[in-house]
Amino acid sequence: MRRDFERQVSKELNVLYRVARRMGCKPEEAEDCVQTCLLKAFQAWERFDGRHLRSWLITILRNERLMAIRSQKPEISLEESNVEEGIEEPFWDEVSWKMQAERILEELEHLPENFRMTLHLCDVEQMTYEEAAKAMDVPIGTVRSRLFRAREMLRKRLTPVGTELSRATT
Amino acid sequence: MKIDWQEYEDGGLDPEMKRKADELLKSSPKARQELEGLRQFRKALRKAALAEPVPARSLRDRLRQITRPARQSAGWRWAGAAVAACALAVAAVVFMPRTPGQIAPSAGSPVRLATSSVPQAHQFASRHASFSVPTVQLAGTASLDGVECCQTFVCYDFMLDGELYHVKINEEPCTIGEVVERDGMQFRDAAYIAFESDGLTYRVSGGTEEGRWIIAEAVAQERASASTRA
Repeated sequence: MRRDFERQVSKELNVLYRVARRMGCKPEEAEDCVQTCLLKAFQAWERFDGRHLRSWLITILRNERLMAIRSQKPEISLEESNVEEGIEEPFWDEVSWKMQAERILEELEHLPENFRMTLHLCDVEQMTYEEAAKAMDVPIGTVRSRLFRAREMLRKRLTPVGTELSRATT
Repeated sequence: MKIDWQEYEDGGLDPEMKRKADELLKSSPKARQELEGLRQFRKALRKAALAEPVPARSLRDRLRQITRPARQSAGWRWAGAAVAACALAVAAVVFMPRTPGQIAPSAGSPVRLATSSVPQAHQFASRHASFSVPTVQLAGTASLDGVECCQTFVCYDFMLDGELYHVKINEEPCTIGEVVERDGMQFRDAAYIAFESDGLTYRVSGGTEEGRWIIAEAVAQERASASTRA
């Protein structure tokens, strides 16, 4: 059992660490968070059904993180409105995305956590909607809507105001 | 016609819209540019997030810390059995009735030298062991505390962070324990850590698990370097 757990889970360590960082953990805190998650997972390993290991681990990681911060600060209300903001084209081709990684990560941190997580799971870790939905314990439709909104929010944060104006006049 | 390029990318468009989007992509450079922009955005995001450093080694160590109690308990069970067996053997020798003039067997009994000098320990061990004894030099990692040996084995003792470790060397291959690969070298992880080099088996015991790995890896690297030099 131990060997099986170590073999399978060791492949997910980097992903868990990155997810912990996206959840707002500082580097050292992220390691602790991952370790707590691993301990819980090890204790529950015999009850794991063997499907979607990554999603299962991320669910544990999220729950642990939520429990840890619940006592520290009031729960953030997560915006789930379906208000369409009406994207004006061109939208995606305006700026060169070959920008510095630091800037992208910095702006990513400003998104509400659930949006940030969805973006990370789907676009960075390349999980399917189904896997991401399972990891965050939400319907697939919610993953889709969060993902779209998160991309737009991040893209808007990364686009300098002046760029849009200059494009609009040309 | 307005196409949601995110839906297109994620495969969420219905077949009719997908067909229209594909047609638009063929005819409109602006549409192609828009889709390419979205792809570049996702690529840049992924690249940025994956470029963040991950403390992989520390995470692996933490994973092992969690699974260690199970391994330790199994190890301790074996250690307990071994201690009990030794106690029985000693008791049998001590309390066994002897005829007058009979002496305790001495051939092959281990002898020990307390020394911190590696050459001295090597010389001492070479006089007693029946195989070619390697020098084990762990300067900078652990200090030598002594050596114990007989015809069939040599055991170097090392101190590391106040803990005593034993590096036992003999010709018996190790077949128990999980095979673990570290830095391109294969070890066996049982109640002790074992590896083979040049026809000899090295077993590291004592101290803490972390310390055993430090010693085992240092000895393995030292042996690999010695083999290369030879």
